[in-house]
Amino acid sequence: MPWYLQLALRQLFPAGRRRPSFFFLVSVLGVTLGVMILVIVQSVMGGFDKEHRSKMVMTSGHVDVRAGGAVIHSQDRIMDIIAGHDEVAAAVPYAQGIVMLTSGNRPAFPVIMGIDFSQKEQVVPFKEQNLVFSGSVDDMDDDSVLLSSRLADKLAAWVGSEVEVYTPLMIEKLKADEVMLPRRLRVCGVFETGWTPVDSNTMVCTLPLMQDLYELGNGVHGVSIRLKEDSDEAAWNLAFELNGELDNGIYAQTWMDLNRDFLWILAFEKNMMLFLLLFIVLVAAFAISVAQLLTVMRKTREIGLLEAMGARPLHLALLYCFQGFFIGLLGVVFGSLLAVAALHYRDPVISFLAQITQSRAALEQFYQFTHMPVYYDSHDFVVISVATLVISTLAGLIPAVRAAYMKPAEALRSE
Amino acid sequence: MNEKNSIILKAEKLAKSFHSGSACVNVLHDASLCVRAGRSLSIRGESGCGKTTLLNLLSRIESADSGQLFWQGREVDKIRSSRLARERGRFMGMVFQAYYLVPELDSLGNVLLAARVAGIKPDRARAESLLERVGLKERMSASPLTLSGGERQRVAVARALMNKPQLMLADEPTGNLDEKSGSVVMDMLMAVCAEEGASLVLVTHNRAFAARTGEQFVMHDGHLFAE
Repeated sequence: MPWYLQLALRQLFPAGRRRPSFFFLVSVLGVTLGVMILVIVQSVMGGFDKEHRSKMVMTSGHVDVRAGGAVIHSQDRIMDIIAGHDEVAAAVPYAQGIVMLTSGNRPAFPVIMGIDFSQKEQVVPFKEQNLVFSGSVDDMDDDSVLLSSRLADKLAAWVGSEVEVYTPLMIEKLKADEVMLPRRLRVCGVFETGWTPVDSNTMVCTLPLMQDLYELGNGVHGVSIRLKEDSDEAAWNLAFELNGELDNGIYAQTWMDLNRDFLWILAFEKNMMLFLLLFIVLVAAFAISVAQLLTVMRKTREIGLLEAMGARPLHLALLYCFQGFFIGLLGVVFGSLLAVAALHYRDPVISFLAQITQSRAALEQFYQFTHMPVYYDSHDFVVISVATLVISTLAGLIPAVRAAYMKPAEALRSE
Repeated sequence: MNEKNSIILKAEKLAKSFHSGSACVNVLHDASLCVRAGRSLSIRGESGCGKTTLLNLLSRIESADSGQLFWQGREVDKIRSSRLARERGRFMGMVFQAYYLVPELDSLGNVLLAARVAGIKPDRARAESLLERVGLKERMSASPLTLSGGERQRVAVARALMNKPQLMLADEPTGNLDEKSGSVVMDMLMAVCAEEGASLVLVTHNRAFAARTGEQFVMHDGHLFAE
């Protein structure tokens, strides 16, 4: 081991009964707290991110084949092309639009989604995930609908209620002075996916009903596809391959393409949090710098001696840079361990806080969770660790340069 | 190895002044001396007369304002600054009044440090042998903080001799010690320098210690005189 590395370690961790210096402990504590907060925030943000991603995939599938809003009449050919890809678990044609819905005197303008329930494998796992919490998806027919939970709340419509549907085509016909009566449909179930954009304003019906309401004939608006493997790369690959096989005007997009803006905001939020919280580490770096400067001042004569014995300025600089690095390293290790421990016990902490503030119901209603999602991303750990180590090492640079440029005779003369 | 009596260090008209604000203090005036291989010389004088400054100039840890310095016939000013520290670490050993041991290392570690800092492969057996010769066989793993002043200075002497230097510069090595400990350290310093064949330049207040060296110089107000 080079002498400057050994001496750096010895100055930080004295042998025998001597204790590490107070300034060293404060520096490590500062970096530890910074890293702990960074890891906690990034892991929780990662948890929410993961949760959002899984909900998006659950409600829209991995890949979506569309014709830019136009009606597709060649869905059989599309289904044949999709069937040629072994990685596909389910492919379901759908049609979607907007309708006006009334229940009693309460109106709503939900998104209506007509799904081909005759397909054996479904993209949206209504049954597998028990998304229908009231009623049953088995009761679906061409005169019934499923309502999302908040839509049902808004309309005060529950299982067995009847709702009236007005389509945009009816309004067109009204302009031509034709009298069109609304379509009366029975609510056969209420579902909740946990994905707010869907839960707040969606109505699901059978594909034939939707084709009838929108007068699509046998046409559909698209085919949603679920993959066997939940992988972003597999989704990209399938979309790429399908785009080479599909007719002109029909194209495949991944769920990431469809939610690009939302995913960008999630990534931006996470990166901004990382950037802002890194300032905590930066503050800790000042503590390292001050502590190391004090050490250099305290050891001025020792530095003079080392120079007199033949130490090169670079080695003297490394002696104090390494100390900054080691402080950073300890902060990364302790900070990460404490963060993982804190996140491990997050649920009891949240429950306790919800209990003493009597906010459990509000927590479930507005945040839709009582279990805080956490996702440990190795990339986050690497970024936090590298950034912390770089900042800590640089913090040791100022005292290191001071030590390196000390004149030996002046250093030895110093009081 | 240098031949006996060959000149290993030569200083010609070294001068040094320090500036403090607008005032200029001339500390050293045209000091010249030669150190021969295996020989010893002493520089005696009052506090503040420039003895330590001269030693700093001889070891080139401080630059002279004028004059020339030669180590083994080579002009020191012509040695590249990047190599100077290493050359010094191999050519000479230094002992200071205040010992300057590294408290984080034990006695053996301090002695080995001299070799490691100078870029020489540390010879543990030699370090142990040096510590044994200065009477610290039992204190090799002791922290400098637990050693007496005399013991610390003996570790410093062993450290200075670790790289088999041709020249030993000792700046008031007994200055912080009582008479008895000082005498022990001085005896030991003279003996091991003789055993190692190292020349010795001793700066001291003590007439008796100075008298034990081959050549004696006296410094007065920055002027160096042979006695």
